[in-house]
Amino acid sequence: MKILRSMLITSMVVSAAAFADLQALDDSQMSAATGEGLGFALEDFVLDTEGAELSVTGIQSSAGEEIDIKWTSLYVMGEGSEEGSIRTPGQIGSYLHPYVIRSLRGSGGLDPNDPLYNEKYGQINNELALLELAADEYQSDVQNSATFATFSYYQGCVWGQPGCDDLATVGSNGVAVQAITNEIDALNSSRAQIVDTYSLALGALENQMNSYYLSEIVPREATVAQEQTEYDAEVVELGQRLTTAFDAYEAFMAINPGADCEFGQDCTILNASCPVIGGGACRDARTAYNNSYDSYEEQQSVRQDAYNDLIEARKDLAAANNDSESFGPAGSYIEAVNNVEEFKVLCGLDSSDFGSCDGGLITRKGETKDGIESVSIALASGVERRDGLDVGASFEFAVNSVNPDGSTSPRTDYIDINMKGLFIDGTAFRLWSAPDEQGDDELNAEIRLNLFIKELDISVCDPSVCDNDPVAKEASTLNLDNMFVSLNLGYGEIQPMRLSATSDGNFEFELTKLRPGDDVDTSSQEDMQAFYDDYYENSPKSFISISDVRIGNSPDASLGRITVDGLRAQYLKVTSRDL
Amino acid sequence: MKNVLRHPLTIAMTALSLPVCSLEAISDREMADVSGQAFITIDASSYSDGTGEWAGQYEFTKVNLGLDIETLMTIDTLKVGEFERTVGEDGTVPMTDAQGNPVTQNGNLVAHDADLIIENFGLGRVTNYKDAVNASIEEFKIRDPYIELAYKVENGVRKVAGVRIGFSEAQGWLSGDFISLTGNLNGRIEGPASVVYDQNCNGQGTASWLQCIELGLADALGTQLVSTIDLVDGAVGTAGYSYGAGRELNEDGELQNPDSPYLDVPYLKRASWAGVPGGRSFTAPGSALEFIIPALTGSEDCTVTGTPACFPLTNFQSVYVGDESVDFENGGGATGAFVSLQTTSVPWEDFSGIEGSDRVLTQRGAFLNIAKFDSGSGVKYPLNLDLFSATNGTPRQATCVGSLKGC
Repeated sequence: MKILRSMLITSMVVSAAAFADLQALDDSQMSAATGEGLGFALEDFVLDTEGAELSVTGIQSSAGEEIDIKWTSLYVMGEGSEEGSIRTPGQIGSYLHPYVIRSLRGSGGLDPNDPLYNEKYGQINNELALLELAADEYQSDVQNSATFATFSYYQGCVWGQPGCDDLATVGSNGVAVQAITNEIDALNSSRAQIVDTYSLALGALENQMNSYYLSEIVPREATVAQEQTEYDAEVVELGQRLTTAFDAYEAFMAINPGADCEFGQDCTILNASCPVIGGGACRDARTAYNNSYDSYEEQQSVRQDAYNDLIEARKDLAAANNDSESFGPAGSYIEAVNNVEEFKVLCGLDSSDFGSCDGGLITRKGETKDGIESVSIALASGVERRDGLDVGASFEFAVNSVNPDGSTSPRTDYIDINMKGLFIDGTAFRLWSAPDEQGDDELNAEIRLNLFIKELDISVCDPSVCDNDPVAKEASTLNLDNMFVSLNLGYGEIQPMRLSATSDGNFEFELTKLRPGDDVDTSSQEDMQAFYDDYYENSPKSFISISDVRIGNSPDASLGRITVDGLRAQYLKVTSRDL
Repeated sequence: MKNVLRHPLTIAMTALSLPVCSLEAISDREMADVSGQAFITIDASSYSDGTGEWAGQYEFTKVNLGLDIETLMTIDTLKVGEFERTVGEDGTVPMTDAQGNPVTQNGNLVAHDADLIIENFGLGRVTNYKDAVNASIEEFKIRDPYIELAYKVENGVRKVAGVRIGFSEAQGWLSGDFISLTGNLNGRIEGPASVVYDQNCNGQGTASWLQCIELGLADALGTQLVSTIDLVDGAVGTAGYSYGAGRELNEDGELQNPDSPYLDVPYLKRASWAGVPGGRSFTAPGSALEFIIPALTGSEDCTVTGTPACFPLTNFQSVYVGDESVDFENGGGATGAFVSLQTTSVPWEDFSGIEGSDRVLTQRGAFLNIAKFDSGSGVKYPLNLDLFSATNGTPRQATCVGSLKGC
């Protein structure tokens, strides 16, 4: 066992040397280990491929043609590099805020007051060791990119750029603070509207709804399901009888091709006579057809009756769902369900009282507002945000383009990506080993990815055209402002992320279904509901936001904001397959 | 010899698994059955056959991902295309309250502030959601998602015209409070003639005595009424009230909706209502009254002979994507569903499989395509309603254990 002592280094060369100091760790030392690791920072970092090219092979079109991909440039520099043209040194971590690689124990099972307890590892058992790779972290809301990105989204522009640096627009009543306040006011207004609708307490209303559901809805849903099953069976029977009748008709016509009766008509001795002598088989076939068609027609009537019964059952259910007097002036059962559900969205799933609102969306937005306010006030008082990185890459794709007439033409696609002001602080990858359902060890993981890019520009213009025409390049470039991705996958041992490869060479990624711990009685409704409520309240959600999407810099070309707020996968399994 | 693991990502995944997974050697026979996995392909195409605002040279690059995805996923708020639109322009409809009364500011009609606003969005559902012990997940299934970029070439300069994310196949429950939709949401509504008769005859409603006689006959014959539904303008009293996008033609090729202000737009923007658009009728396919029913059931001002024919989208918080009666593995998935964002008009290729379909014409802004598709056994619709519950709504499919939504 080796110990990795915390240290700061200023280059990868020194980093390599640091590993030479690894020392063996005995069991007693191990038991006292609380998170030693390696910290590092890359100061004044510049990476520039300077014309070197990399070819990517193995990617094909659907038609099996090889796509020739050239990675023509890559740079990583400090912010302000003007798309890599000015060699600006960048900082990846710092002495006070290093990147770290460390092994440590989970905090699951520890008392939250225990000095060794850390909320970040609270869902991983203390008996498990985990490996963490983490980027720099900041306590200051201005330097913390997650908070600053949220501020920028509500501020609506890239702070620091011309037109977005007016100190009068920040502060305790700044643009962003007002925007989030308006959102919270609207949520509170929705909440008040629901609360004013009901004279009952929330718990009493839910009891009333439950008893209405059990006595009025459940039996009717069962009736609809029963009638639907019967109707479906009659439809199947109708189809079978039709097939039987048609087969019988064809059999009869094969014996008596001269018969002058159409399918669906009664075949008689007048329009489909059979020989008097030796016509037994013909007469039997005629009778078989007539009988089978009669049977089909009888079934049509039976099917219609079943349909009518189904319709009546559906109407009865719809009436029970929508009876506007079920809950007095508060309206129908469906309205009550919608209102109660909406209240819980606003105030928390475990709400038990219309008078309190201690969780849910309103509380979450309130916390968001606190962060925005903190950033806005700090900026107004002159606090400056640190610089990030500029990262860019260019690619060329030689493809065969399929024309509308099916012919193909060779074509070269260009993609030039420039990220101006990139930050990943708060990002962490945690890996640990734990037994799977079969008792075999498996790799579990948890990802906290924070990616904030102040400006992301994507150009697809042919460089031979646009490099000589900056105006055309500007007008054809897709710009994304304040792009923020906060991706939170996995929630300790309750919902680990699993990575594996299948025996046929495909990969499998899974966010498992929720796994109650040993301390949860899985046969108890109360315990299990509390388990789910705890997961819904505490497992981190994911967020994606872009404050402006536009082509060029004309306001008329703006497509505005994109918001994916509060994304959570309660289950996700992705398996690759051969196309 | 063939490579077992050819793709770099697969190698990376496997490498990550090395320390803890118990790897087993595979025999030469097993080895021979394994070929290199290629889960990414890239297709390029061009299109220049469009007319009007879709004329010109378009180029497309489509990145196909060979993935099978199963999920139960929720999003508190999904908002795309949040920019200024003016009511009446480009098919932008007015915002309304739940009763259809238009919302105004300073005396002017206003639209929702984004092209797509879906709250409490969910893919998949929880069955037995009130029973925390036995609740289980019914996944939303996706096969082979893709990302496609559209470029427009003007004066030799290529620019990004749009991006879309779609699925080759998708099946399962899609839920949400659909506050504002831009694009296509196709549905089908059906019910017995008795519903229209009951609501309009028997001493109530607005149908004439002659219509009641004919409806009564249709009812007696067990006639089924069927119509398709689309996004409509639900703002009562405005010029576009009850109309959908495009031109509704009758059998003689005449306009059924000549007063619609949305004749020349391919789809409505920021709609919050759906229904049988003004001018469209119910049909009674296969019925002896097939030729009478359309004349009796033309939709006007969001009513069909007195029966409400439009409803706020929030009435229906769950739609089934795909064919519920057929397993995913047996072709039950819907084709052609996608969400896109365009900086200018883009004619996306139509993957719905419907005969004669070629391009989905989109304009600047966001676009959601939850449209009809050909399942191989006929055209299927994502929204299937009956006449009894269409205007009242049905409960949402649960996406949480213990509550329908909000987790």
